Amino acid sequence: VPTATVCSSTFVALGEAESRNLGLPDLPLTVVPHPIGNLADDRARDLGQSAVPGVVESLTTGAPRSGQVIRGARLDMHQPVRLAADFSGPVDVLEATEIFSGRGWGDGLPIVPPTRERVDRVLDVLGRDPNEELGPVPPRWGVATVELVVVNAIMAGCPSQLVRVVLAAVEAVLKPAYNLYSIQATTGSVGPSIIVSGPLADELGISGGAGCLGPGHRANLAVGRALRMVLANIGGATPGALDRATLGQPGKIALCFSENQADNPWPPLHVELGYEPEQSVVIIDSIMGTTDIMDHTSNVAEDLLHMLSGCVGGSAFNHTQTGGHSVLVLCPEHAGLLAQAGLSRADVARELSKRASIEVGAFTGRALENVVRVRRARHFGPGVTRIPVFDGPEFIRIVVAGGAGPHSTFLPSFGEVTVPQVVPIR
Amino acid sequence: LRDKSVTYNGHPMGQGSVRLVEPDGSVRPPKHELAPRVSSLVGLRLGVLDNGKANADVVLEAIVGELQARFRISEVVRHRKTNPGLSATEVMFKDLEACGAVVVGTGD
Repeated sequence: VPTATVCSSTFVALGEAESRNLGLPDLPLTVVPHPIGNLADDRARDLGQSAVPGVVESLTTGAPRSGQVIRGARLDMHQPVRLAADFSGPVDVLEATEIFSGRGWGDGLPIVPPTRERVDRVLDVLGRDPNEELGPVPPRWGVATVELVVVNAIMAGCPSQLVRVVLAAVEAVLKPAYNLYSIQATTGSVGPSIIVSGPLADELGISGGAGCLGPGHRANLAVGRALRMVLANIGGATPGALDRATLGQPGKIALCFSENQADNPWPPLHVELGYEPEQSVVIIDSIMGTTDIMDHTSNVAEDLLHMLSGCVGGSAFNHTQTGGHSVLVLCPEHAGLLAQAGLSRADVARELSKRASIEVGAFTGRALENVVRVRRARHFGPGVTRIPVFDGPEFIRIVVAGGAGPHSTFLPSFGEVTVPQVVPIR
Repeated sequence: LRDKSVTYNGHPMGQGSVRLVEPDGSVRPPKHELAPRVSSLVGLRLGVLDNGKANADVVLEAIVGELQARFRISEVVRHRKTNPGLSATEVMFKDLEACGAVVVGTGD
């Protein structure tokens, strides 16, 4: 069926890359000026009418060129296809960083040069087929292989033993239900978070202790950065090009941590998810950022639940408008207070799901009509004045991490378009 | 594998240079044929797929109104995704495949 695609101007690079890499390089795009969503009705109608010549041209043969239609993807964000992916060059860190960033590779920080020798050494330790394919990575749709993941992990500073974790994380984000395309190409600030649960976390030095979401933890940063490197280099998610994030967030540079096993009052996360204690897994959520929750006054569980449930929603958060799975990282002191009151992890999620709600009046009419009533329809009915922040306890992942102090952290969800993934580490 | 030495910033790398492995991998686009364009829109059944973003409905309706006025469109089949971040459903695709031409939107 002949199709006319109306594309807002800020998405043209993405539209061109998609039409080329998904096999329709001649797909006509009718370009209209961005933004559209915030226009008054009459201006939106004018904009629609201005697109008509382009739409007609896109659908018919022999129509005059309107100037607003792009036929044939011209953009080339990356070098042409190279199956033999080696070249010779300098080994100095800054020179290698320079040459790689000149080709659009990397994350803006200095890289460890992925020399043939380093790559081969890691492949030897892993003992996996270098050509094993993990799948195409959107939105560029480059095909990730074990060897390519190794190359990217080396660039991010991973020693060989951490690459197993990175491979599991890549496998997880490529599961269809994770919907990586949406995460990579959205204007939202979303990025994947990696939680490592199981004995490997301690063995590999992945920290769940003091400051584990911040700087200073080499394994956390190397693994988080390696996943980003894969998403940027193989997936082509270059900010301002195919990654359309308005702002992004620091967690997109690297976000990997473990539970604080020593101070966790509950069974380990992976055991609660049904895995054997000796198994280690990666748990991948998609989160919009990190928000500190300070509560150093609550001394009973009831008060803490009251405080927590009051700060996890808001009218313009993705998860409040559309649902989805969020992560609540409880510091050991907060988790301890709740556990002392006899609450399990599941009890805490249930209590928060019950208590956290938002007034329908907090949303504007347009937000309700366009988004909230559509995406969270199940909560609306006659006489409803408040809706729950979460769609149910299963949409709140409770994790225990951090050091001493009364600060927990909320990692709000990107929304219901993405389903978290758990993958065993091989 | 390419294994020749290169010059970078005027520094001859020569025989002592090392080989770096490129990190981005290949893209293997599937081969699809663009559907043949129609000679005219007159009398066509027109499909509309709204991506669910704010104002997409207003923009698309303006386009549809104009096309109806100019080309005597026989019928308009409208679908709106409830969620811009997810693909259209099989039912939507099936309905739209039965149209002579389709207008869709991307971006926001």
